[in-house]
Amino acid sequence: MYGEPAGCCGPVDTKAPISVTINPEARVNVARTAARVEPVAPGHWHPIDLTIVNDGYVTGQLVIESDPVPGVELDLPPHDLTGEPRQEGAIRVRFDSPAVVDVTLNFRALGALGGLANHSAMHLLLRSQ
Amino acid sequence: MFQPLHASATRAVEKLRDIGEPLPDDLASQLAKLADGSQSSAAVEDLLRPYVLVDVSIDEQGLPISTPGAAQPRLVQHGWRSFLVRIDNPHRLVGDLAAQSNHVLNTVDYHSHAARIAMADTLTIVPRIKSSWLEVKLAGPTDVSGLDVEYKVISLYSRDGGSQSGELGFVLAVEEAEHSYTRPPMAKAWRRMGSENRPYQASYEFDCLSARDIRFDIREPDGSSCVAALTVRDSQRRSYPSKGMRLAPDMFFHEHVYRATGEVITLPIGQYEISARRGPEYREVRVEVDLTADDDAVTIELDRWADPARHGYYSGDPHIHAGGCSHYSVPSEGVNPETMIRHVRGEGLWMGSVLTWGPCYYHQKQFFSGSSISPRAELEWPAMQQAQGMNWDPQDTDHDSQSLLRYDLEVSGFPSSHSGHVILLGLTDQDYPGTKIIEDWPSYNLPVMRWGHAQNAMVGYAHCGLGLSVSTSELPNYVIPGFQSIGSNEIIVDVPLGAADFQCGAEFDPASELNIWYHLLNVGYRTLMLGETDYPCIYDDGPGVGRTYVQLPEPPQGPQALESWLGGLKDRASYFGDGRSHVYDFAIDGDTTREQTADAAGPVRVSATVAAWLPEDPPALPAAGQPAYSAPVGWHLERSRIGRTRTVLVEVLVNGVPAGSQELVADGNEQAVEFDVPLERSSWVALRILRSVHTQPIFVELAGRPIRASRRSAQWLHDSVDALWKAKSGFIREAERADAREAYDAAQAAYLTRSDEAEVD
Repeated sequence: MYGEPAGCCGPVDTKAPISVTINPEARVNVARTAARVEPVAPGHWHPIDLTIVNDGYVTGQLVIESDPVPGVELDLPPHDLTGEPRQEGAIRVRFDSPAVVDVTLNFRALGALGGLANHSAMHLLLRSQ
Repeated sequence: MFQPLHASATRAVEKLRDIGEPLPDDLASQLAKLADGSQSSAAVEDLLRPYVLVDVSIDEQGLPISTPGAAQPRLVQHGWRSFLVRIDNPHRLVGDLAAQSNHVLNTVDYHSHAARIAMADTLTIVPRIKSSWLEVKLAGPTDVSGLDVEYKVISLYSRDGGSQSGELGFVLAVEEAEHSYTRPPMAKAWRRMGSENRPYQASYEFDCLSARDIRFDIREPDGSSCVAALTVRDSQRRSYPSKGMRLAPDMFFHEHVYRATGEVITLPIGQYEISARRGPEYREVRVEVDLTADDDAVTIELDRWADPARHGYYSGDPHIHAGGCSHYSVPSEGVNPETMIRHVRGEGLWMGSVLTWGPCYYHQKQFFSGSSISPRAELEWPAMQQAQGMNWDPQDTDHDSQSLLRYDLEVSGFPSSHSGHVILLGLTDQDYPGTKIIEDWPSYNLPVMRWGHAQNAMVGYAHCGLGLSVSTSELPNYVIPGFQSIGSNEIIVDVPLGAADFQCGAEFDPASELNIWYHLLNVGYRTLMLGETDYPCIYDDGPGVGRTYVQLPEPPQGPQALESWLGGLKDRASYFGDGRSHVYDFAIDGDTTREQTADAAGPVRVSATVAAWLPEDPPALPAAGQPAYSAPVGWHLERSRIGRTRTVLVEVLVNGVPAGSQELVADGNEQAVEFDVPLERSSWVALRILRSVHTQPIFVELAGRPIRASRRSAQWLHDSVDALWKAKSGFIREAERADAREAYDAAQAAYLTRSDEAEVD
C-alpha cells in the first residue's frame, strides 16, 4: 500500500491562498486553501502565494495561464519544479483602480510527462479598494 | 460588478458542457456576446434563468434558503442530470457550500473513502438504502466567493423511475477567523442547520425517466464467454451505472464496471457509446448503440491482439488489495474474494496476489488460506444490491478457472514499514511468531524477510521507486538517494544477506525504480524485478496496470498455482511492464535458460520475439482548460513512442548499459529481434522497451568467474547503506537497533568484498 489509509488528499498545511498538489501519478490539482485573499490597494503589485506539494517527483515547468481580465494585470511566472516534495511560489496582481474581478487560472505541469500535460483550473475573486 | 458575475455564469455553463450536459449551443455564444456588448448583469440573469433548478438566498447568519427555480425537475433512473443553481449572497459571505437532501443514499463516504456507509447502530443498512433514492452533489468548485450573485452547478442522481417527491437544500460553512480542529466550519454549519426550524429546503415533484436491464453478450474472439471491463456512456458522456451510488463489485472510482457474459447494466432508452476491454492484451472495442424500448441486449466481441499464454507466459499482479487505500478505509472492512476475483478476471490476469495490510489486517486475514483460489464471482450483499434496484445474477464464464487469487501479506502499516513495504508471497502462516497485534512485529524488515523465507515464501519490496528518486533520468546513475520513503529501501541490506528475492515496480519513473536493481545485478546478485499495480492505492484503474509474465510449462492452476508461478519466476524466463508490449523467447545464442556459462569472452547473439501495440496516432493533447487525467502516466507504452511515429525502441542491455537498439513498429505483430553483442566479462543481459517492458536478465559467467561488473555499483550500494541508516535507524526499536546495525555492517562488508573483486570501475 502506498499513501495514507484514509483521505489521501487532505488539505495542504500552508498559509498561501493557493495550493498545487501533484500526486504520485503526476496528476495536478489546484485548490483554494482556507487562507483568504485580502483586498489590495490599487497601483501596486501584490503577491499571492502558492504552495506546491509534489508527491510525483515531477520536474520541469509548472505553467500558470489566464485569459486577460479587464481591470487587473496578472504576472504569472512559470515555476520550475525541482521534484522536491514542497516548493513555495507566487503570482502577482495589480489593479489600476478599485474593482472586483473574477480570474480563472489554469495550471499545467509540463516536461516530466513527455509533453503530455496535466492541468487543473481554479478561480479567484480579487478585490481592490 | 458585471465581470465577476459574467465569469461565474460562464464558468457554470462551461462546467455543464464539461460534464456532458451542455446548454443550447447559442446560449454560450449569447453569453460571450454580453461581455463584448451590453455588459448587462440583468441580461446574464435573464439568459440563465430557464436552466436554474434552485434559487438560493443566503441570509446574514449564513443560512441558505432554497426555493425552486424555473428549470423542469426532470431526472433519469440510474443516471445523473445537472442544473444551474443561482446563489444570492447580499451579505457577501465567504464559505464552502454543500448540497443535501433527505433522500441521499450516501453509499460512498467521500471523506473516509469507504464504499459502504458506517452505521454503527444498525446490523443492516438495507432499510436505509431502500428509503433513499436521490443523490445530490455540487459539480465543480463549491466555494461561495462573496459575490452578490454567482452560479453553481448541481448534479442529481435518481435510483428510481417515475414520479418522486423530494427536497433540495444547501449548507454553507462560513469562513471563520478562529480555526477549530474539533469543530470545523462545515460541522458547525450542519449543527446550526439542525437547530433551525425555518424551512430552508425547496420541494419538487421529480419526473424520473425509467430504465431497465440490458444484458451484455460479451465474447472472446473464439466465441467463449468471459468477464470484461465495460464503460458505458450516454451521448452526453455520462457514465452508467452512476459512479455516485455504486456497491461492490462496482467501484465508484472506476469509469468501468466488470460484467460477465449474460450479466446486466440498467439503462434508460437512448444512445450510448460502450467500450469493452479485458486488460492490455486487448484493443479497446467501442460500440455505439441506440437502445429503444424493444432492445434488451447488446453484443460485444472483444479484440485480443496479444496472447502471451499461447507462448507459455502467464500473467500475474503480485500486489493488489481488497481493503484500505482509495476505497475501503473503514479499517475492519474491505471487499470479499468474490469481488476481487471478478476484477482480476476482468483484466485477463491469471494470478492476483491479494495482500492484507495494516488497516484491514484483522478483517481481511480471515481470507488467508495458504492456497490459491478461484471462487465464483457472487455478489457480496445481494440484499443491498436489490434495495438499490440492481437485480442481477452473477454468471459463470468459460474462462473463470483461468484466474486465481492468493491471499498473502504486505508489511505496510507495521512497525518496520518505514524501511520499505515488504511483500511476502506464498506464506503458509501470516502471523509473525510471538505477536498478538501488528505493533508487536519487528521494527526493521530483515527478521520479517527471514521468517518469510523459513516458510519457503518469496519476499521482496513493493513500489520500489519510492525514496529513490534523485532528479535524474540517467540509468544507471550514481547519485545516492535519500531512502526517505517506503520503496526498495532496506533491500540493499537484505539482498547481500540472502533475505530479499525481488522488488516490484512499473509504477513510477524508471530511473528511480531500475537504478537500484541494476546496481545489485552489476555486483552479481540475482534479484528479480516484477511489475505490480498496488491496486487501488497507486493505480485505481484495475488490477494488472503493472504486471509480470512468467514462462511456465503448464498454466498455473489449483491450490498450488502461486507456488508454480513463483517457481517459474525463480528459474525460468519472465518479463514485466504495462502489458502493452511483450518479449517472448529471450535467448542468448538460442539458449533461454537464465544461468549460462561460456569458456571465454566473445560475441553472443541475443534474440527474442517482440510484440507491442500502439494506436497509429498519439493521443490528442487535451484542449486548454480540459483535465488530462487520461494521459498515460508511469509505465505506459505511449510514453515509449518515438516522436509521432508508431515505433518504439527495443534495447539490449549488458550490465545495465545499452549495447544495441532497434526500432520496432508497435502494430501488434510479433517481430524477431536480434543483436550481436560482445561479452567482455561475466555479465547480465536483458531486453527492454523503456517505460513498457523489461525482461529478467540472463546471467552469463565466463570461465567460471562470478559477475562483478562494476566497482562503482558496489561503492554506490555500500554508500547507500550509510544513507539508509541515517534515514531509518531512528525508527528502529532500541532493543533491535544493535542487531540491525550488525546487519547493515554485514551488508556493507559484502559490498566492499565485491568491490575488491570487480573487474572494472
